[in-house]
Amino acid sequence: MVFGTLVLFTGSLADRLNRRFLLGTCALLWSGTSIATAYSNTFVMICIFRMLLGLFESATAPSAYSLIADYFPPETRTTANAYFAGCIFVGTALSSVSTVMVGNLGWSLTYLIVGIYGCFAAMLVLIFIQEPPRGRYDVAKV
Amino acid sequence: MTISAFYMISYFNYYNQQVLFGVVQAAVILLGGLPSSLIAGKISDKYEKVNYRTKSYLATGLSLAGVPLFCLLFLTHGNFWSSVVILFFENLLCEGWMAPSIAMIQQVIDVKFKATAVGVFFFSTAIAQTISTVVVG
Repeated sequence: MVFGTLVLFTGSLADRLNRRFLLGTCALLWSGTSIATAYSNTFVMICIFRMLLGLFESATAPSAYSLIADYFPPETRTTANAYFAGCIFVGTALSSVSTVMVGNLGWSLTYLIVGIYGCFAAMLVLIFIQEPPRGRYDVAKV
Repeated sequence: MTISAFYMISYFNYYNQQVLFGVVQAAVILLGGLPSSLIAGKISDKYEKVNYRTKSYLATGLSLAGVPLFCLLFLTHGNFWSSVVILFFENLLCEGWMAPSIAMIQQVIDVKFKATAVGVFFFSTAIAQTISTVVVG
């Protein structure tokens, strides 16, 4: 619900701010919420951190797809989108397999590992992704 | 994906076998959803020059293909594994709709509102997923 509602506002934010910074920072922050969840000891704390996860995650898709539109020309853009959407499937599959990790390591350590991995991935985004000029492949506009 | 996961785990009472369900779900998504997305993207870009409506045909066609398969998944009172097979085919045949849909948004919306439009798209899908999860129960 938090993700679904706030994605309207974060989309607008991605049209105004530096998308690379927004994507990397939000990935870093949502990974931080996973680490914080690992150390939570009440239901309320877990709820709050899960809502914050939804908040930060809602900035991802608008920023990422907007970046893809400026990284790839229209001739190859759908394929680029497909690779990004495909990675969502990989992530969903990994989250399904995380039940194995939860069974062996416990939910707390699983959250910690996922959070640390997320921080690492967010740092890669901030280091390697460049902010392209907006609309550089746009021809016809509505 | 969310609905089918919740539905299957509760309908087949697999609460005590969540590890098995997790591994099966992961295999179905990786072997079905991932290739579906990549193939739809490739087909869309390849045939865009032949027919400029390729993206819309793919997006609507793949979405509609999901209707009978979801009906089979939810209405068939078979065993767990037959539902898994249907879920696999649903993933393989229908989950490539997103890339062409978003490519259309990227193509026609003004650069000033592109991310906002993607946000509205994801808002719609999130609302649909939330409502459908409640409806399916």
